[in-house]
Amino acid sequence: MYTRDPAFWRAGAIASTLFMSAVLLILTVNSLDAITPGGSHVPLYDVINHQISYAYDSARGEYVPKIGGRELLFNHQYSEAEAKALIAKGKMVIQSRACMDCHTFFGNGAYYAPDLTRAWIDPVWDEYPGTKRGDAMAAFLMHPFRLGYHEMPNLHLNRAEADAAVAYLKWMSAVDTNGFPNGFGVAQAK
Amino acid sequence: MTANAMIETALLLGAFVLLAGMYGLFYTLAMLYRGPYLKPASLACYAAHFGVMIVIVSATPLGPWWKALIVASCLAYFAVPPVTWRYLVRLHREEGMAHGRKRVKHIARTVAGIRGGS
Amino acid sequence: MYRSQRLALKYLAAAMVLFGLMVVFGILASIYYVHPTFLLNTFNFNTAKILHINTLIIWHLMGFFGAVYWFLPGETGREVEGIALAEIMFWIFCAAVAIVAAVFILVQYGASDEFSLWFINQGRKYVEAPRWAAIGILAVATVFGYNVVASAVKSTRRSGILMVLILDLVPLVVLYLDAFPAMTDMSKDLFWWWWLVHLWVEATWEILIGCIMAWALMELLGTSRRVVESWLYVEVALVLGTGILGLGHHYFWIGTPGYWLGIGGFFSALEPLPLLGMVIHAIYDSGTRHLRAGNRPALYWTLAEAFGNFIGAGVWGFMMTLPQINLYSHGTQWTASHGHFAFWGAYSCGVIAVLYLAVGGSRERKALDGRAWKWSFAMLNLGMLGMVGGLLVAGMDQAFFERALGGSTWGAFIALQHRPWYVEGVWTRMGFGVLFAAGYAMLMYDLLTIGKRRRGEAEEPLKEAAA
Repeated sequence: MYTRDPAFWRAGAIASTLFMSAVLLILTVNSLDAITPGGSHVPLYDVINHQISYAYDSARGEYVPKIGGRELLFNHQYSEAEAKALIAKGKMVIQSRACMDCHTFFGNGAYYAPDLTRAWIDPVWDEYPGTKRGDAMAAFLMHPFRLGYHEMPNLHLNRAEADAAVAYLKWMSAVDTNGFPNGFGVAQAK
Repeated sequence: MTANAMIETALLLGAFVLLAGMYGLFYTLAMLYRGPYLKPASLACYAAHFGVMIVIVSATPLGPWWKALIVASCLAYFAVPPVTWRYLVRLHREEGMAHGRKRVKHIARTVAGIRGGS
Repeated sequence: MYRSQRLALKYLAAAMVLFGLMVVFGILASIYYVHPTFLLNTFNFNTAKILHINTLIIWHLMGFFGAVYWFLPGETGREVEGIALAEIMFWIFCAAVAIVAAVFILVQYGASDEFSLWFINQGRKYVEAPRWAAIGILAVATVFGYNVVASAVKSTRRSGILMVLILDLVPLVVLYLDAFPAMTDMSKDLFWWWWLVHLWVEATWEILIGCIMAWALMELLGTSRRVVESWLYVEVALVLGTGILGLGHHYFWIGTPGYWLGIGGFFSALEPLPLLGMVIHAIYDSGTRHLRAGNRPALYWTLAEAFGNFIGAGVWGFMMTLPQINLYSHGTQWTASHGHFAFWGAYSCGVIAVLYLAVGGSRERKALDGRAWKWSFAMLNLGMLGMVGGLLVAGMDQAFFERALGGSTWGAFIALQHRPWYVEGVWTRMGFGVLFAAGYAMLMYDLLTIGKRRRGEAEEPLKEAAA
């Protein structure tokens, strides 16, 4: 019986690996399209000029980000190129300070500090309406204060770095993450 | 899914796989040692695993395709221990028959190779 | 002993030192959870965590290299090709690790510029090491690959195990290229990052440990090559058959299209099936020999590998892999529970088994036994169970209250930190971490002394199992 022959299983190993890898490559090409800024799930960087909210979409059956009207960040209308440069700097801040080793982004990272996916629209900033929020968050990043149990360290961000990190958070909050985190800011039934 | 249902479903899913593992463990021990309680223990574990599958299908808010996957997995888990056992026994038996003394020599050579050298 | 085996012992020793550092930084990291302003602005949590997870990865890589260098000469029947270069690379590897660790500890972070990424901290999880060191690791891995391939080419014996290993090394090394880029788009960054992390720990590393365990079984139990090779092919087929698209279970929430929920959930739900097969195999192999193997600690650690892999990766993983659950469990202490248990079961136990085989071989003892190994086995495994259990309770509390009920806000996160089960969970994790550390100390003592303790002792003959 052919299943007794190791060569059968060797062929099976090769075939299954090649087939699954091919499917992965096809899906990767498709996904890269969706996750490029401007794609179906990831907004262009100039979304930071707009109001961002997060609400339940009954057609999709999950929470989705909603991009609203004009709501400037740091009182500046950013072009796509300017926004991209600012947000690229923000990513450098996040990497150089290893934010991901305390916080999570889209739930990935460390679990010591809160998830930052929708930090831009967290209720803790409700007292700062849209146009003032950027300054408030940048001020916090430059001089963190205790917001409860944990205390965030001072990572010596200068104003430019703090602004860039805030811009990053605003852009990130507009990414469609298939409903994660569910019910952000809304208490759920037990 | 409500918060309660989420925790309950997760625990049921964990129990589902754990009981499949226990069924496999007792099945293999029963084949090796033929103790009087081993075979009944393996069947009891599979029965529990099957029961957990029923609860998952009837009482959790998972969608129909996911429930179908659980049912199919349940059947697959039933087959894994006996199929693996038969495969291993056949493999070792053929090895013993085909190679006999050659196998002992080969092992000695491998071990010597590890201990030999400079 | 071949030079390659002497190098193997160096790699395994270095791996054990880093294992110890991992434990130290792990306990340190656990203190912040119960004392949140601990060392604030002096040595922050993220620095401790970076050291904990980087030593994790490096000790395992060094363990794998050590294992391959140990078995390769016996497999090819000759000294490893390019061994002199490999010996140099070992010291370069150690020096690089030491420098990177020193910079993490003393400098910690830099400005938001390329200099920081090249020389201080890249800030991407598991691959925080600066780019210069990533180049170093790539160089070490390339020389390692060259050693394996060139030895196979020069040898007249090219086994199936060796061919699987060689084919596996290609993606393993290529995937590490993701340790370099700094992409602005977080979705893209994480998309490719998961190719590295998942296709390492749930694909290429599984094949690598499979090859190592195949060699280990041949030495430990005298299992025939044909049997271990056939089994290895079955394993590769099933593990890669489920694991390659199982990558999709990391693509639920990072901004990728919704079809990943179905694909990732489906394939990762199948991942425990081959792991059950491995458990059956492990029981069969040890049972048919009535648990008699000369090297008893190696046997027990091999069994721990099969069971730990099934429970830590299989059971714990299955609890949280379906997207309906994962929506709430994602990025919580539940994830940490699974991560610790899966790494321990799938890889750490296997490396420790090889350590005992190498120690036995180097002291020319086919039989190893004693009391110390049993104590360390118990303490390490109980310590791990306790840590994982504590994290599971804390994680489920988190998924329930912070995520499902609280809506994942900062307020919900902060409220969680005071919840009794969460607090008990993180204290439990710390306590059992201390037990784990004690187990590690006992393991080190045993590895340094087993087989050396009593001179002139009659050696227990290695019993061949009846066919």
